[in-house]
Amino acid sequence: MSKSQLALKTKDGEVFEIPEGASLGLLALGYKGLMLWRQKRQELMLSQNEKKKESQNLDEEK
Amino acid sequence: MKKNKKVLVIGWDAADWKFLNPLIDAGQMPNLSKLINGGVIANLATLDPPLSPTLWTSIATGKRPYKHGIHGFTEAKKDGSGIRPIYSTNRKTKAIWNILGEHGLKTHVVGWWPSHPTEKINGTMVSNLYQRAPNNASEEWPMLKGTVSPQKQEALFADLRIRPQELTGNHILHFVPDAAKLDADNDPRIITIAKNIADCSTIHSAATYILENEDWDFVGVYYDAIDHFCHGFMKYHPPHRKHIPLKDYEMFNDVINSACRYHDMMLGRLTDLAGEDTTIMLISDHGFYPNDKRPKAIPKEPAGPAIEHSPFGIFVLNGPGVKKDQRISGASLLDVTPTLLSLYDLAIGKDMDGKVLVNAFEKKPEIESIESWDTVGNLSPTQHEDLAITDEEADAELKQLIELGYIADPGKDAAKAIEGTNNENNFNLARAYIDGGLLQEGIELLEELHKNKPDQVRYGLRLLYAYQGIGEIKKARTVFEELNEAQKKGSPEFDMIEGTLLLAEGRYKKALELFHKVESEAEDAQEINLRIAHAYFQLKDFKEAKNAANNEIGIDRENYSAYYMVGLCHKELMEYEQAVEAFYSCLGLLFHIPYVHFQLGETYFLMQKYDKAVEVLDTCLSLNPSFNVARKRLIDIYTNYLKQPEKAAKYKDVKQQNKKGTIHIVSGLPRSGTSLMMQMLEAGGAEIFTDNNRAPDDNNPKGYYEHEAIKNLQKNKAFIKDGVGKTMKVIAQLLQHLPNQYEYKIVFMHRDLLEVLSSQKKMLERDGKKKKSDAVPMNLFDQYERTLDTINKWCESSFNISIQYVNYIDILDNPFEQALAVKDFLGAELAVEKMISAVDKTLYREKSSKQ
Repeated sequence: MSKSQLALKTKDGEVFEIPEGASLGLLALGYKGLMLWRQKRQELMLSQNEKKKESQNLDEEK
Repeated sequence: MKKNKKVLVIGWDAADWKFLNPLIDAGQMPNLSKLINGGVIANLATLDPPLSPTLWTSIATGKRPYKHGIHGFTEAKKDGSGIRPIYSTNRKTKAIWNILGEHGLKTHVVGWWPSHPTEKINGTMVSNLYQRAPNNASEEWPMLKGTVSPQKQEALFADLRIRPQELTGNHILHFVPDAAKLDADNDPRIITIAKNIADCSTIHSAATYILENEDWDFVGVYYDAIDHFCHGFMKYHPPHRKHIPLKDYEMFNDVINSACRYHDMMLGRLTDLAGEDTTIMLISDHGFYPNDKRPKAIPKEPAGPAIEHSPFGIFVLNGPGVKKDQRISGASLLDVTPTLLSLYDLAIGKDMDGKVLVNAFEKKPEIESIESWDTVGNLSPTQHEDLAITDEEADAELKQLIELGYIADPGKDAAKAIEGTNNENNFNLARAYIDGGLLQEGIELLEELHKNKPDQVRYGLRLLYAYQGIGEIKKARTVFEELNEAQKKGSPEFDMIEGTLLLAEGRYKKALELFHKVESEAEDAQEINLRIAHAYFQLKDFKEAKNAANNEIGIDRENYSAYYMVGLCHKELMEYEQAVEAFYSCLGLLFHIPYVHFQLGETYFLMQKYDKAVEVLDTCLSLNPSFNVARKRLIDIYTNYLKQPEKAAKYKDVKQQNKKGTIHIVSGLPRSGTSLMMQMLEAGGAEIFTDNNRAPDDNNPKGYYEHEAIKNLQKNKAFIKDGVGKTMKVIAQLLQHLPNQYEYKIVFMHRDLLEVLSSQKKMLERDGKKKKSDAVPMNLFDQYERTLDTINKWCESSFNISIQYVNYIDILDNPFEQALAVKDFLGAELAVEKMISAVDKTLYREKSSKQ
C-alpha cells in the first residue's frame, strides 16, 4: 500500500504526522497505524544508516 | 428483510463491568462511555460450562452447546493420531454469518473462536488461528491453511499481522511503567504482555482493514486479549492480597487497567470507522472475578483456569432505534443472535434457545419466527473449502492452549490424549445438558464418566449434584461416600459438599453445624454464607437466613441466588415490599429462572396486587409451560379475584393442547396397595399395560401387574407411547421420570407408613432376601416421608399431571365409595361393582397398632 493510500487524517482533515517513537495509540488506529509506523521505522533506519555512512565517509576522508 | 442496515459486533472475551466501571467512572474509557451513554447496557448471563469456544458458538448461533456441537478446546484427530484444537467443522448448526450471508448481506468475521478453518461466507472470514505468532522471533510465520477465506486474500492479511518481538519498550511501559527494572527479555510476564498486545493488535489490524476497504452489512470481530491478560495478571489487580508478593503486586498492578484502556482506544477506532448510522454491539462471553472472589490457586485439571470466570459478561447496544442511557435486565448470551436477526427484520429460529432483547429498543420490534434456519437455503450448516491441514499447522493453537493452562500437555501417548479429550468433551456436554435443564441426559453421561474414571472427583461431584437435582438423594449419598472414601476425609471442601447433601436429606441442623465448621476453618469457602442461609431457612429461622444471605451479597453483589434467598425470607416474614425488591434484584441478574418469577408473583398475590401478579406469573409460564402451580394460581386469580373467567379459561385450555395422549397410572410406595388397585381397575374393565413377567406369589397372590420396561424408565422412555389409553403401575420413586409429552392421571395409593415398612420387611423375609427379625427398618421412615413430599411438590408443579390420592384402608372400609371416586377421576367406563369384587380383605395382613 502506498503512503498516500495509508495517510491518516485528523478530524480537521489534516494529515497526521507519524511520531518517531512507537506508541499504543498508533497500533490502536489499526492497520494504517501499523503500516505507517513500519514505514516510519524503515525511513528512520535508512536515515540512520545514511548518517552512519556519512560519518564513516567523513572519518575515512579525515 | 432490512437492507442498508450496518451492524458491528465486537467481542471482548472475559470483559466484566466489575473492573470496567471504575475506569469508566474515572474517565479512562471515553469511547466505551460514549457507547454506553448513547445506548443500553446489561449483564450478559453466561452458560455452564463457561468455556470460550462453546460460549462464542452459542453467541453466534443462539443455541446451547448440545445443539451446536462445540464442546471444548480440543478434539480427536480424525485419523486417531492425536488431538488438535477444536475446529469450526464440528459446528452442526448455522451461525449468524451463514444466515445473513444467505440473505445477500455482506458479512465479515474476524478471529471468532472457533472459526478455523474458515468457512466460505458472503464476505471475508479470518480465523481464530490468524494472530498466533511463533515464540521464536527467528522462526518463519507462514499463514496456516484455512486462516483466511477467500484464500486469495491470504497474502494481504499476512502483512497486517504483528509479532510480539516487533513491539518496543514504549508499548510495554504503558502496562508496566517500571518494566526497566526487570529482565524484560526473559521475564515470562513481560513476554506474555507483549504477546497479548501483538495478538489483539493483529486482530484489530484485520478488522480495521475490512471496515475501511470492504463493502459490509455485518462485521463480527473477536478479541481474546482481555481474557488472557486477566488469567495472567488479575492476581496483581488491586486490592492487594496477602499471598501475592508485594514487589510483584507493585510491578504489575496496573496491567488489567492498561489492557482495558488499550481496548477502549481500539474501540474508538472501530466506532469511528463504522460510522454513526451503524448499530454497535459490544459483548463478552463471561466475566472475570476482580475482587475477593479471585481464587488463590487454579485447580490442576483441564479447563482449570475457568474457575476465575464470573457468570456475567457485558452487553452494550448502541444505534438507531436503540434506547439511550438505559440498563436492561435478564440478557443472556443466547439472546445475541436472535437480537441481531431482529435488527435485520429476519425471523428467529424456533430451535434457538435465546430471545430478542425487545427492551433494548425504543419501539418494540415485530418478531417473526420460523422452525429452523438449518432447513432453509444451504442445508449444510458450514461451507468449508477442501483443506488438507498438516499436523504442524494444527499444533500451533494447541501449544497456545497448553501455555494458557486451559489444557494439560497431552504428551506423546496419542491414545491417552484422545481418551482424555473425549472424556473432557463428554463432561462438558453433560454440564451443558444440566445447565439447559436436561438433567437425565447429563446424568447418563456423568454416570459413564464416573464409572470409568472414579478418581476424577469433578465427574463424581457433578453427578452428585445432578442426582440431588432430580431428588435421587440416596444415589447422591452413595457417590459422596465413594468420593469421600477416595479423598482425604474431613476437608472443608468435602464438609461443604456433605452439608449440601444433608440439606437435601432434610437433616438441617447437622448441615448447619457442618457449614459453621467450614466457615471457621476455611475463610475463602465459596458461597458458605448462602449455604448457611439455606440451612436456617429450612429450620424456619428466616431472620438468620436473611442475614446470612445478605452477608453473601456483601461478598458478591452479583450472586442472584443470594438475592432470591433474601426475597424468600422477606416473604416468609411478611415484608412483602422488600421481598419484591429482592426478587427483582435476582431477576435483574438472571432473567430465565421460572421459580423466581413464581415467587414474585406469589408475593404480589399476597399483597393483593393481582394485575402485577398475573403479569409475572405469565412470564413464569412462558419460561416453563409445565409450571403447573403458576398456571393454577393464574386460573385462581382470574376466576376469583379479577372476575375474568374467559381469561382463566385460556389457561385451562392450554392444559389440554400440549398432550400426545392420556395414560392412567397407579402409583405409591411398594406394598402400599398398588396391586390391589390394579386388580380393581382390571376387573372394572380397564386395559392393563403389563408383560405378566412377574408371576403371582405369596406376597401378591393375585399378581403384580408390572412391566419390565417401566423399571428402566430412567433410561428408556420410548415404550411409554404404547401405554396411551391403558393403565400402568409405576412405583412412586419413578414417577418423576415420566416424559412430559403425555397427560397422566395418577391414582396414588396411601397406606400407613409403618404398615408399608412392615409389609416390605415380610416380603423380603418370605423371599429369603433378609433374615427374620422383629425390627421394622425405621431408617426408611423419614426417607419415605420425603419421597412422598417430593412427589406432592412435583405433581403440584407439573402441567400434565392430575392426581387422586386413595387410602388403602379406605378401600377396605368403603370399597364402593372409593371405586366410584376413582372411576370419576379417571373419567373411564369402569364397572364399579366388578371393581369392588376384586377387593379381598383377607390379604390385609400387616396392620398397624391403629387398626
